[in-house]
Amino acid sequence: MSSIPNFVGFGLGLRKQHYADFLNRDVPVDFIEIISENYMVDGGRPLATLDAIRAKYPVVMHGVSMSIGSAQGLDRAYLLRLKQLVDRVSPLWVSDHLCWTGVDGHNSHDLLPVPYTQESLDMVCANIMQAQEILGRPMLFENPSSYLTFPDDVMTEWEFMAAMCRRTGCYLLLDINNVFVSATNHGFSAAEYLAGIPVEYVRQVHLAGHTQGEILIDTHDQPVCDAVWDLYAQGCARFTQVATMIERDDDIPPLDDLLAELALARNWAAHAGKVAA
Amino acid sequence: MSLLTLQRDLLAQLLSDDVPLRPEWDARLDKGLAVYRNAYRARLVACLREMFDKSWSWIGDESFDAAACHHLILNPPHSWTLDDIGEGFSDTLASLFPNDPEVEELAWLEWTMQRAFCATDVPAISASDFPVLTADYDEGDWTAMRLAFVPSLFVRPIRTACGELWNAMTHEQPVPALMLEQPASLIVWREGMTPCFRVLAHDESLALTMMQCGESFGALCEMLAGDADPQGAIATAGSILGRWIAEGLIAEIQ
Repeated sequence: MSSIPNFVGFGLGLRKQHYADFLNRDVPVDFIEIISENYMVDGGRPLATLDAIRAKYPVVMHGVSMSIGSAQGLDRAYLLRLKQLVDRVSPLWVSDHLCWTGVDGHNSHDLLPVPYTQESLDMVCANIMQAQEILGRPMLFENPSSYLTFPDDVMTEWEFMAAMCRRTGCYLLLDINNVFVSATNHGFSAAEYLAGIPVEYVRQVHLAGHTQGEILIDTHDQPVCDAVWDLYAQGCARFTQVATMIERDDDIPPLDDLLAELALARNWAAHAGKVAA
Repeated sequence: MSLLTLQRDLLAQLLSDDVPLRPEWDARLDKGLAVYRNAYRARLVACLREMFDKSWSWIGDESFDAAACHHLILNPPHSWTLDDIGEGFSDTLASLFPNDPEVEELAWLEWTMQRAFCATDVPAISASDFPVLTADYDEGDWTAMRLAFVPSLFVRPIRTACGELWNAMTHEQPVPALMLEQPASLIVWREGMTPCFRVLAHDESLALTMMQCGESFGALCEMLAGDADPQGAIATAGSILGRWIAEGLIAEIQ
C-alpha cells in the first residue's frame, strides 16, 4: 500500500450554497473537501458541478457511510461505488469516520461510537484493510465526537487510533472540535489526547463549531469557539505538516464568512508554528 | 458482550426508549443514548421534510412528521445513502390519506423529480440529429422503428392536478381544482440539468406506453388510426415524436 504525502494547506467543505462562488470566483483555498456520498449518484448536475470544481481546485473526499466499525463487515457494493468516484475525482485522499452506522441492514445514518476493545480493534482493522484494498490506496479516518463510552472499553480512543494506524497503514483526520467535545463529555484530557496521537499518521485537521447543552453536541452550525482554537494551536505545535479545513454543515453563512474563519486558522497555525520553532 | 451484540443492543435503544438498558449500561450512558435517539429521529424526519418540502407544506408540520415517523417505522433506512429514505414515501402517504389522492401524487412528483435530477447522463437525440439518423429510411424502416428513452424519464397515471398544484405552490398562486375531470398521465424527465414534468394528453399517453413497451412506430400509427384516417394518424404520431425529440426524451432509435 502506498503512502499519503504530507499536504500543507487550508480548505473548506463544498456545500451547494457555495457552488456558484467556487465555480465563478478564484476562491483562495488550497483544497476543497467533498462529502463523497453526495456525488455517488448516476449523473446530472451534482457530478457535472463536481467535475467543474475539480478542474479548478484540489479535492479530498470525505465519507459518512463506510461504517468501518461494523461488526458485520463492509458493504462491498458501497465500496465499489466509492471506487468509481475516487477514479473520477483522483482526490488527494479519501477519508471516513471511526464509527459504525447500522446493523442487520438497518442504517441509522449516524456516526455511532465503537467500543475501544480488542475485538473492536480487530474488526476495524480488518475492515480498513478491505476498504484500502478495494480503493487501492490508504485512507484517513476521523476521530468521532461521542456522547457515550462503553464499560467494556480497555483502551483510550487515541490508543485505539494509534494501534489502528500501525496495523493497517491508514492515516488520521484529526477533528479538533471532536476531541474537545468528547473530552468535555467524557472527562478526559484533550491535551493528553493530542499528545497520544502519533504525529506521522495525521494528514488532515477538521475545525468546527459545537452546541452547549446538557452535554456538548457536535452540530457544525456555528463558528469555531475560542476553546477549540486554543486546542488547535496546541495541535499545530505538534502536527505541522497537515491540511486544515473548516467544516460547516448547518446555518451555512456566505462563503466570505468562512474564508475569514479560515484566515483565522492560517494565523493560528502560523503563530503556533513560530512558537514551536 | 460481543461487538455484534453491542451494536444490535445500541441500535435497539436508538429506535425505542422502551427497550430496557443492559444492566452494565448506567445512567450516564443512557444520557448519551438519548442524544443519539433524538438525533436519529430528527435527522431522518428533517431529511424527509427537505425531500418532500411541498408535501410537507401541503399537509402541515404535525401530519407530515407523523407520516414521516410512520414511514420510518415501516421502512427503516436500509441503504448507505440517505437519499433512499424517500423511496415509498408516497405509498405511505397514500395509505394515510386515502381520501386525498393529491397528497400521494404530489409526493410521487417530488420524489421522481429528485430521481430525474440524478439520473444517468445519456445524450438525447436532438432535432438536428434525427433527420440525419433517419435520412436513408424507407417506409419499412419507419414502420419498424423503435425508440429507447432517456433514463430520466418516468411516467405514471394521475387522478389529480398534482402538477398544477406543484406550480401553484412554487409560484405562490391560488390552488387549482384538485381532481382532474379525466384521468391522465404525468411524465417527469430531465431537460439538460433541470428536472421538469408535464401532463400528457390521452393519445400521447397511450403512445408513450406502447413505445416504452417496445412496440414499433408502425404499430403506434395503427393504434392512433383506429377506424379513422391513416394519414391523420401518421401526422399525429409524427407530431408526438417531434415533441419527444424536442424535449430530449429519446436516447436511441432502433
